[in-house]
Amino acid sequence: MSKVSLIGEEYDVDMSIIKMEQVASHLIGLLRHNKISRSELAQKLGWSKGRVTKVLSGDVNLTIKTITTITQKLGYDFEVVFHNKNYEKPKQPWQIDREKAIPTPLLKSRNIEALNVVFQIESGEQVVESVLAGKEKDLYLSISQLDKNHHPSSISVAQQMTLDNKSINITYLNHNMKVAYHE
Amino acid sequence: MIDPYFFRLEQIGFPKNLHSIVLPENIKVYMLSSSCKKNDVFLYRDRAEFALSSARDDADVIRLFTQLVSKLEQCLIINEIFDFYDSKELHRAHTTKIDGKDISVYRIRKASIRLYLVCIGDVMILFRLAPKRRDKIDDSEKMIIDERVKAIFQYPIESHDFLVRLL
Repeated sequence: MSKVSLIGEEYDVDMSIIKMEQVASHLIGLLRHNKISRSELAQKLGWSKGRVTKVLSGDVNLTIKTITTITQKLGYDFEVVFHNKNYEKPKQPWQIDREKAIPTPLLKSRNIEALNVVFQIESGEQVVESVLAGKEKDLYLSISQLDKNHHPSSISVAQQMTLDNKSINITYLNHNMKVAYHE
Repeated sequence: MIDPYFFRLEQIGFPKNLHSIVLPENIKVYMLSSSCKKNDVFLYRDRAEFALSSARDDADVIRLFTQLVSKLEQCLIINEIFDFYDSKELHRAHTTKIDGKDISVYRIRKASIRLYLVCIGDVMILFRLAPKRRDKIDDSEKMIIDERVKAIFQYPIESHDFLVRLL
C-alpha cells in the first residue's frame, strides 16, 4: 500500500491499480497509433470483442503474456523501463512522432513590449500543422517573393528593414539559419 | 447561483512517487469550483459526501482519474479523448438547456463512479462526481447538473471574466 493524495484527501492505495489503468490506456494509445479498432484487434487475435474490451478496461491485472500477444500482433516490442522524478519519463511512439511534427519556430522577433505581440516566422506547412492541431494564431503575416502581381496591401520588407531601425530585435532560434541581427 | 471558479486538473494531485501529471500544452482540463478555495472544487465536495460510505468507491475514484489523466496525456486535441473510451465508458448522459441552446453533458463511467463533464471548444470542464446508485439520472441529480452547467457557461471561455477565475 502507498499513500496517494488525490482530490483533497490522502488514501492508502494499492499502487498496482494505478499501473493497471496506465498500461491499459497505453495499449489503447497503441491501437490508435496503428489506426486499429477494438473489433479489428479482436479479429486479429481471434478473441471476442468482450475480451478485448475487458483487457483494455484497466480493470484487469494484465499478464506479460497478454501484453506480448497484443504488442507483437501490432508489430511492436516493449520493455519495462524504470524511472522516477530524477529520470525523464519514457515516451511512446505516438508522443515521439507528435513532437517531431510540432513546428519549431525558425525565427522569432519580439517587438516593443507595449504592443504585447510576438512575431513568429513559420513555413506554410507549419501553419497547416498548427491549424490542424487547433493551435492557430489570431493573425498570419505572410512573406513571399516580390513580384509584379503582389497585393496592394503588401509591404516591401527590404525597403522597411534598415540597420537604423532600433525597434526590431531578431533572435536566432535555428542556428543554421543566416539572419542579420538588428537592435 | 454559483459564482464559478476553475482549477486546472493538474492541481488534483497524484501519487507522490510517480511523475506529476503533465498534460500536453493544448489539453485544457478544468474543475469547477464555487470559490477560489481548492476545498470548494465540486469534485472534492462530492467526493467528501460519499467517501465514508464505501471503501471500494475510494479505489474506484482513483482508478477513474488515473485512467482519465493517462488518456489525456496521449491526446493532441481534447476531442481525441472520445477515441480512448468506448461508448459505454464515455457517453452523453444529459442535455442542459441554456438560453434555448442544448448543452451536451458527458459522463465517464468507472465501476460504480460517474464523472460528469462538458466540452467547450478545446476545453473540458469536470464538475460532478457521483456514485451510481440507480440506472437513470433522477430529478435531483438533474437539478445539480443543470445548476453547475449553467455556472460553467456564465462567462465565455477565454473571456477576461473567465480567465480571472481560472486558478
